[in-house]
Amino acid sequence: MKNHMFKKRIEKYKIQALSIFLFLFIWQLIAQYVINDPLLLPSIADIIRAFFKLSANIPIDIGVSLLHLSTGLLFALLVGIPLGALMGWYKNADRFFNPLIEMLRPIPPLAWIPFAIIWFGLSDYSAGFIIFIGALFPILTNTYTGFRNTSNLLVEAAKVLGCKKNKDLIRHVVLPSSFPYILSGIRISIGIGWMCVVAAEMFGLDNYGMDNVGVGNMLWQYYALHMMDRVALYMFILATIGIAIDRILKYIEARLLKWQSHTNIAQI
Amino acid sequence: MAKPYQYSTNMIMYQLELKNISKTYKRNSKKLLVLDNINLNVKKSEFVCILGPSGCGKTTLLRIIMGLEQFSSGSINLDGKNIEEVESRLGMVFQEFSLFPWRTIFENVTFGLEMKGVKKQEQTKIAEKYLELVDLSDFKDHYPSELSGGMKQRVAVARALAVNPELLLMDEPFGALDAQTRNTLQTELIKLWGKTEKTVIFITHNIEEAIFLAQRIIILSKIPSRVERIIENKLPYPRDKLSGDFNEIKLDITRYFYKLTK
Repeated sequence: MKNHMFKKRIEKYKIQALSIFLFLFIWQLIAQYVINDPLLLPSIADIIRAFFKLSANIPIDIGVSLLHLSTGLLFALLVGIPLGALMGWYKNADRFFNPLIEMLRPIPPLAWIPFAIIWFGLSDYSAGFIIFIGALFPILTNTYTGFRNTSNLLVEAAKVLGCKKNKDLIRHVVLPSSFPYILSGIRISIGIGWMCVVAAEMFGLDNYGMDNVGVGNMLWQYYALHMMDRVALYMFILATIGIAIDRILKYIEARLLKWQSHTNIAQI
Repeated sequence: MAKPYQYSTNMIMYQLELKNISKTYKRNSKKLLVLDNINLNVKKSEFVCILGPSGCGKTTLLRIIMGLEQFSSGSINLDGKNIEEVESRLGMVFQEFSLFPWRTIFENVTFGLEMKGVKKQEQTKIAEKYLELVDLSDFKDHYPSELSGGMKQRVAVARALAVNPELLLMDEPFGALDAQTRNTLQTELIKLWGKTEKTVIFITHNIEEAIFLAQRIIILSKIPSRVERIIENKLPYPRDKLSGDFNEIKLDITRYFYKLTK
């Protein structure tokens, strides 16, 4: 039975691998024989060549971008979780903050770039700020939803067992019961934050004292030089890191939430 | 010389006294009377069932005793003292499954003890004792999602008893279970009651369940609920649902119920 399931999974991965391989193969064919212009469409071979040329720099680029991401994310969590909790627990806080959030939320993070530059200059903080804006709302609304969806029954069960103060109820019931929402909020926030990296690094930044680093930054620099194979390479890097972060977080989520009925690590 | 008001000393023999409890819900300026002047006295270690048709104020009454809901008039005394808010000397088992899903079975049972600030060692001792009592020691490290409905309610009973309440309130705790499990848990509950000598107030709309469990059955009417009838049930424990005496009482109450709900 187990063996059979294992085979089935291999079968599944075979199809997934085939999908990617076919895509790259057709891309190579089209780039090489149909378009035949590395500016319009660099071939896979060009991109691989670019990868080997730049491979020494890539880890630093990724590191710097992850630092930008962490800065923005840290502040998004520091603001989003407490604010979401406050709004979820107190109706009046919800009424007060809700209009402001509804007003700010539709503004795309990119629209904040001019103010980010005016406020923080061309610094790592302005990149962090753009990522902060992108990452703030998912974690905020998820925390809020988690608090709101806390089962009244569990709150009452806790009260009956002597957990009566707001502070204790939040700590022992509302927070743990919101935990799944908060975790997936963090995951979505990181995903969106990572998407904002390219925009956040669009302008030359301090980059922690190093010139010409950062995934988003290099993507723009190579665009300015019209080296589209390298632009495509950095796009691949963005995708790979994005997927890797998401997978790692999903794994952590499943480990932390093993008490949930349908969380099964094998399903990821 | 006994003064007239000293009759109250006489009443302290009751552990729980409900005096003229009424409850009115206000909705859209309309008033709905749910509980109408309920009087109820419960002695220590007594097993009382409150029996009433669905939709009468049974659960509301229990929630009022627990302090989870306000009442409009009347008073509640526990051991002769007035109580108004959630009272730690009372324990409750809910109709719906109310275990904390993020805590293991063991951690669910220790929840109330943690809140009381009981030492860890002591917590473990008490939790193990009550898990043993409901026969779930083997499952202590499992999460509630891995347990069947009947097991969940047994944990809920252990969790309520772990804080050693003087009175256990049970709101149709076996209502969501299948008949087989329900029978088993009824038998287990009677055994547990015998061992712990807790006072139990048990709510049900199941006549057979009430007769199987209770020493005294309080029948409530439809809304607005009044105490319609009180039946002393002197059948010896453990009771046999197939015995003639059992079914005589059952027939009597069923007939009465039929008239009541018609």
